[in-house]
Order: sequence, then structure tokens, then C-alpha cells
Amino acid sequence: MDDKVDFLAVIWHRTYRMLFSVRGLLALLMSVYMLVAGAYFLDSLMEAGTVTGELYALFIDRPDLQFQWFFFDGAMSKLVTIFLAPLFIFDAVSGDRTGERIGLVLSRPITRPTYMLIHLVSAILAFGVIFLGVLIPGYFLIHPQVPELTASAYLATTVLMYLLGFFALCVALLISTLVKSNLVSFIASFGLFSFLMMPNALKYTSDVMVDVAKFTPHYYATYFTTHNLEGGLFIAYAVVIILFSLPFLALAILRIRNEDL
Amino acid sequence: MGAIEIKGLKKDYKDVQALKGLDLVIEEGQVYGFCGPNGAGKTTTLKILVGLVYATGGEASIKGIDVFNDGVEARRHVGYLPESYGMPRWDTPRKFLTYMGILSGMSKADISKRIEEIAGEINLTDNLDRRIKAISKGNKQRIGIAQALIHDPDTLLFDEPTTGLDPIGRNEVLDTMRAFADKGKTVLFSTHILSDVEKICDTVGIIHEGLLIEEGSPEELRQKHEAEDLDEVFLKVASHG
Amino acid sequence: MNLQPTLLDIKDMLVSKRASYTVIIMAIFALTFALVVEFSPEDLRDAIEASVPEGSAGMFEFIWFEDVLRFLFLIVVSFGAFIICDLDDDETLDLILSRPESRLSFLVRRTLSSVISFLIIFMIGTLIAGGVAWAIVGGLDLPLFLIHHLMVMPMLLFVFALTFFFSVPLRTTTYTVLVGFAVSLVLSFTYSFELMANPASEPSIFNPLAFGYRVMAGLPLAEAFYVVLVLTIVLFVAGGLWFCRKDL
Repeated sequence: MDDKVDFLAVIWHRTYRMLFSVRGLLALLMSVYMLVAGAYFLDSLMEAGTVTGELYALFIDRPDLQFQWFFFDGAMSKLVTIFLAPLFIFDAVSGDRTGERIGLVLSRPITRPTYMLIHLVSAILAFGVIFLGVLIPGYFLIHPQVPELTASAYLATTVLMYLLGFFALCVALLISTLVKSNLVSFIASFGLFSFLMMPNALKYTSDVMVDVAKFTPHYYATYFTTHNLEGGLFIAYAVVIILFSLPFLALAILRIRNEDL
Repeated sequence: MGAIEIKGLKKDYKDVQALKGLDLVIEEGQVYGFCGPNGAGKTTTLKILVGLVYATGGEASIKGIDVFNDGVEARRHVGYLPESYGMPRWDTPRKFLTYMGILSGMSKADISKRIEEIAGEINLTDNLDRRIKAISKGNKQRIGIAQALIHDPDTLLFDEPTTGLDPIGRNEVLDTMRAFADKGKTVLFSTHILSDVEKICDTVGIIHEGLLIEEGSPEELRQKHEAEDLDEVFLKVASHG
Repeated sequence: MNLQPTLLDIKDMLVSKRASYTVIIMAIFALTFALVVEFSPEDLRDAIEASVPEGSAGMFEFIWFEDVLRFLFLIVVSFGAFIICDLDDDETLDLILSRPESRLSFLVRRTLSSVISFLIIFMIGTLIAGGVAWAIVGGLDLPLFLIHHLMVMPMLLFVFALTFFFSVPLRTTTYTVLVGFAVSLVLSFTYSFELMANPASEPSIFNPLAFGYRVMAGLPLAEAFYVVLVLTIVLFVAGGLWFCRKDL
């Protein structure tokens, strides 16, 4: 890391700009919307005799897991990976390229890995401020609806979801370095994450899919939506999700590091 | 030691050899005009100096710092203005310049002071807080120059800085570069406009097909080629390769 | 009206990355969702089948309309952004508007090209998606599946109009796509939650994105169609007037 450029000041500047932008507003609205929907539609959803209702029946005596499953596995994991997290990074490099800004930025005394880390860390922070900023206080909205839900179980899954967002950010950053257009980057991220969430969505339908789902971080991020919280496993799964993410980050940095711009 | 030294610089693209062993030394305090026909290798050379393009061979240094092995340190000394570049259209110049200053390792207090200073020097003050999208082309180029000067570099690398500007804007850019060099700093700029070169350059280099084929002061070149102006010199040199 | 530029635009769109991504994503979605259905345990499959409305072309179509179509709004939005944003991004909008053509005629031409090329690409994608699902799951009424997709076009045109409307002030593809997609998602979630909460209910005719559900479920369309049509026209006209009077 370059010691003369104030890395924190750069990150703060970018994060602040992202938070107070159209994308920050969109992320905030989507998160609040999902939270409110999760808190207030849940009762009626659980009683409804639909497909979802059949699945809820699997945890008939566990309203806390019913909630966790519906809210995190059913909605949040998709929203986070397909929309919320990529929103903050899909145009990181492709945007700088198309706007021909990349030459100006990289002529500064920063290395290319630092440039990539600036994009990643500011996206992690902006996503974190909005996602955690909505979901953590959101517990007080949800708890009255689902009194059985403990704060620790809810927080643990929230943190794992945030880490799933970190995975999405690393993959979307790689996509952004590979393609030259913001639109293609967004569509490619959207397509890839829609595809990646499938094995996890299918794990309820067959044993084979459980094994396939284990090759995606989604499985580990949503594990405690159907299982009781265990501290050791929580830490292990958090590490597993980070390990899933790092190769994509490394590939993104390698890609940009060797490229003529 | 030259402020900028380039030795045997080569760059091969897939099917084109853009630089074939370029040698160049620019002394401190000079304004160096880098001329040549389209595709001669001017932009590639500047991009290599700021680490945007990787050379295939050769050596290059700025203020004695190897740009290949210590690019970050070398770029501390450089203010770069590309030929074409984008700026965030919804931002104001002040916000954009602040970001570029932070990326150059400056404190916010220094940046604020420096923005006012530069804006005064290059007549940007009135536009500092308007959105970039609403600013004229000439003033956009001023913002480009301001971002290159924000961290008070020792060396300026400008790629076609006067292209598309009106005569007043052109003169302002030329004056800025000359004033910069008069403070003992170094300017390397590429251009097609040879009258600009005659106005402010201490040395002119003509590059053709990736090699430096002529170099000297404007006066020396005119005498050597028995030409009335640099346009004539350029035509004679470039047409004979 | 000179049709040459429209035809050129359509040709460009048909061979664009946008077109290939649309078809690929639809095929991938169809494959994965067909596998969901195929690998479902029997009781779950029964439960899904019990939820399928009578007018539907089959279980796969129910899942497709409920879960997949909303994600495909992104594709629609990306075509909607074609009208203005593509040109603004590559800075050719000013050049094109300096030709001897009114802004209104320009908008009509670009909208036509965008809608026609989308229709062609979307139907190719639907045919492939339906084919994949039919091969894996079986029991899918493929002609009805295709007809339903054609009937859903007014709803997709509404998303188009929505995107176009936002593209006038936002101008850049990035922000237009983000805002258009987010608004479409919220609208579609709104009617979905309502329906999940009370499966016996009919989605409101005033939510234009519930139109697809009505088509699939064989619910009466006339009133909902007028609502969608009026909203679409309002958005197109408002966006068009705004664009025609706007300083660029």
C-alpha cells in the first residue's frame, strides 16, 4: 500500500459520494422496502396455502426459522447478490474506461492494485452502511412480529449476508475489469448471480442439489436460516465465504495490473 | 541528469511496432515540443511515462526515478493531461479536483488552498462550483490542466493540450506551460500545431514511426533545414522519414 | 418517414451483445428453473401444481411468470435505454439531433427500432426458453406459452416507457438502467406480496406489472389493458415532451 497517499481519505471520499448518489438512494429504498415487507407481510404469508406455505410447513414449530428462511434465503440473498451489492461496483473499472477517466486516475501516484482496492473497499463500506444500517435496526421492527427470533441468530445471518455481498462485490469487480461497457457489466453480473443462486434455491428440492449448493457461498450464507446458530460454525462459514471471494479479487487485480490502457 | 530520460524505448502492439527504440533526454526547466504525424508514437510515449502502457523494452525515468520499477514514486512528480479524457459530468470542478488531489496524497486543507490558487491562475474561479456538464469545452480543458497541476508537480506531460481551443484558450494554455517551465520545472507536450511549438518551446523533437528523427531548438531546426518556419521543417523531415 | 435509419438501428440491435445476452440469460433461466421443477420432490411438485392458475400453459410457465419475468425487466430496461442513452454515452446524440430531423421524429424512430428489435429478440429467447423447458419438464403448452409472451408485451412496453421517461433527465445508460430496473422490481414485488398474502385474490388492475399474471392466469384483461395502455402512453408522451423541450 502506498504510504504517502491517504488511503482512508480517498476511500471516505468515494464512499461518501456513493452514499449520496442515485445508487445510494436506490439501495436504501430497496433495503427498507424489503425489510418492511418482511416484517409486515410475513404473518399472512406463513398462513397462505401457496407453495411457499408448503415449504414453511417444514419448520412448523419454528417461527424464527420460518422468518429467517423467508426473509434471508428467499428474498435477501437474491436481492443482495443480484442487485444491492453489484450496484456499488458494476461500473467501477468499466465506468472509468468508458468515461476515459482511467488515464487521469492512474496517472496519480497510486499502484493499480491500490486503485482496485479503493474501488472495492469504498463499495464494501457504502454497501455496508446501507445494508447493515437498515437491517440491524430492522430487528426492532421484526422482533415484535416474530418474538421467537433471537437477536444473535438474526445478526449472524445478517453478517453472513453482508459477507455474501462481499463475494458479489469481488465477482462484479472482476466482471467490470473484463468488459468495457457499464450496461454489459451490469447485465453480466445480474445473469451470473442469478445463475449462482440457483443451486442454493434448489437445495430444498433434491439431495444432489445440496452437494452442488455447497460449491457456492450462498449455501454458507443461508445456513442458519434452516439450522440453529453455532458460534464455531458461524466463524467457519464466514471464513469460507471470504475464501470464495478472494480468488475473484485476485483475478480482477491481475487482469488490470497487466493491461495496457 | 535529465528531468526525463528515455533510452531505447520499444513498444510492440499485436501488429504494429509503435516505438522502435526511442531515445530522448529533456533537461530540467525546458519546454519540449514533441511533434510527429498521427500514429508516430507520441501518445504511446507519454502513456508509458505515466504507467498506463507497458513498454516492451528500453528504459525511462523521470527525475532519475525509473518509471517501470518505481512508477508510483515517478508519478508523484508528474502532472498528466491526456488527449481525451472524461470527467464526472454531474460533479463540480471543485469536487473533481478535490478527489484528484486526495489521490495525489494531499491533505484537504492543502487541496482547498491549491484549488483557489490554480483557479486564479488559469481563470477557472467562476466555474469552480458549476456542474461540469454545463461548462464549455475551453473551460473543461482548464479543469484538465488544473487536475494536472493540483499537486504542484515538477514535470508536466501534456498530450495535445491546445487541440480544439480558441486562440485565447490556446494562448492561455501555452502561457501556463511556459510559466511552469520558468519556475525551473519541465514540460513535455505533444502537438500538431507547430506555431505553438515555435512560441514556447526550448527544444523540439520530431518523432516518426517510433523513432526520434530530428531534435533541436526551433531556431536550429529552421537554419538546418533552411526553412521559414517549423511547418516547413516538419514537412521536409517527415516526408523523408 | 425515412425507414433506412430505423432498419439500420434494428440490424445493429439484433447483432448486439445486448441481444445475445438476452437470449443466453433467458436460456439459462429456463434451464435452471426447469431443473427446479424436474428435481422437486413429489409433494412439493404437487403443491406447485395445485397453485398453478387454470389459464396457465403449465407449471413451468407459472414459475417463469412469477419468478423469472421480473428479473428479465433488466433486459427490457436495457432496450429502453437504447432510445436516448446509448447515443448520449458515446456522445453522438448532439450530432444526430443536428441532422434535419425533428426531435419527435427522432424519438419515434428510435422507439420503433428499440421496440421491434426487442420484440424479435424476446420472442427468440422465449422460443428457446420454452423449448428447453418443454424438453426437460414436459407438460408445457408451448404455443400458449408463446402467445402469453406476446400478450405480455403491453406490460413490457410500460417498462419501456418507464425507462424512457427516466432516461430524459438521467441521460446516462448506467443510471437509467438502475432506476428503471429498481422501480420495475418494486412494482412487481408489490403485487406479488399481495398475491402471496391472499392467493385467492386478483392483483390490482392499477399495478401495470400485474398484467403478466393476469395474462397467465386467464383473468379478464380489458380493464387492466386500458390502465397499462394509458400509463404507457402518458409516460411516453410526458418523456417525449420533456425531451423535445429540453436543452441538451
